[in-house]
Amino acid sequence: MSVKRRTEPVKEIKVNRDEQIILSVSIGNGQIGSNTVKFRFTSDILGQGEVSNLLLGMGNTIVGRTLRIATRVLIASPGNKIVITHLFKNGVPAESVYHDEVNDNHDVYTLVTDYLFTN
Amino acid sequence: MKKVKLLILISIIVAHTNAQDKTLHTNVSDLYIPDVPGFVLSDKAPTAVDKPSNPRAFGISLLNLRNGGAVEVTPFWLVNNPAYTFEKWMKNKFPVIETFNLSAATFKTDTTSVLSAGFRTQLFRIYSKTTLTEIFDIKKQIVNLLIPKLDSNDNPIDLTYADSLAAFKKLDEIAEAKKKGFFVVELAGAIIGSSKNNSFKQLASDKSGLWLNLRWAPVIVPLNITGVARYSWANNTNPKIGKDSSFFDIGVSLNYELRKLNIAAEYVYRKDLSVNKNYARFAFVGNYALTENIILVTSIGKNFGNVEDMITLVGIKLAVSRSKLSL
Repeated sequence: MSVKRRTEPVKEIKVNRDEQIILSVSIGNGQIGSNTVKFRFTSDILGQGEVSNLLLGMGNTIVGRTLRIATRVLIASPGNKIVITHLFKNGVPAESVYHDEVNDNHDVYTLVTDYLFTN
Repeated sequence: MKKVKLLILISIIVAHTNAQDKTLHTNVSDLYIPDVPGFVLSDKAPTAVDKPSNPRAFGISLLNLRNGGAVEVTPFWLVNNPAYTFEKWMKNKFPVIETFNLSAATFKTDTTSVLSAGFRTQLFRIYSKTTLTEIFDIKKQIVNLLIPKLDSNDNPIDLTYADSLAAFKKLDEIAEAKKKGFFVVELAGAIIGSSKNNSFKQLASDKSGLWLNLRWAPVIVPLNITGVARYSWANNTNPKIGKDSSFFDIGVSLNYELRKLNIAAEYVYRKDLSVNKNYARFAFVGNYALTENIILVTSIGKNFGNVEDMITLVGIKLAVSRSKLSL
């Protein structure tokens, strides 16, 4: 078993100040994964485990803040490919898809992403 | 000749796709029909089957086939499917595309080279509510084990060795849960071509087969019931020898497995369509583990045909490996 970690550069998400921003994380290819979601440099965890329709807040409350999403995946289905989708409702771009793969079915994969909300 | 072309075409289609350079082997454990249907048709047992996880590795495996061996690939899992979650995979009642598996195998005898190609897929698969509940409960436990813990800089701390072991143990539990409480219908087919002078240029199709498996495993009792219908035909490539032969088999097998005891019974009815004769085969096999490495074996039955058709065997099997006993 080995550990594979990928860290993505900060990505900007444009939001409307008077709309709620909602996050969903989808693990594709029939794999099993888990997340931790929080704004950087705060102690509050917004979501853990499977993340679906997680309310991040109104646009005006999150503009200028950076959201960190850490996703860990285990190979549970045929194949070694990993695909993780971050979906921001009322955000642009709404969807960010990350493709990757591990060398062995018993590897553990971790994706670290940061999103800076702007208007 | 058309069949041989089809066989080569299947190989070329998969080999000509783009790829990345990895050699990880995939495991399509959800299929119950054995690896490489072509081997089944030719009564050969593969010593090793290449299971490349991407098209390029598959192409390399195909090149190696000339030296003998087997390769199989499930194209669906070679590409990314972002919306295909674990839940969808488990609840999919018609995983025809997801389980569609292509295989090719070659082997040589003293005088001939043999190339076979085959496919297998699940037409229908359903897990019981109890099994699905168990699988999703275990999945929840895995999700909890995988939750990334962050350090003071918000960077994820690596999974502890104990947690990763626990997570993989849970994956094994899912694999075990999938062995009971299901009904599945599988279709497989294979074609064999051989060359009389050990040259692939002289390859001609000489045997084909198509079979359908129905398998049911209840949740409570450790029992497997499998029904099989198989049609196989030989294409006589030498018109001077005689006409083609074809068989239709229909049968059922029961497998009851406890920790120390394994009992299997099989009945196959065969109709030889070329000479219009019927045969039947019946076999009963019992294994009892006296100790971990010593197994008492008994087998009684009747084979196809009318001459020397009795099957009787009582003996002791000495296990030299800890792998699971399979009848």
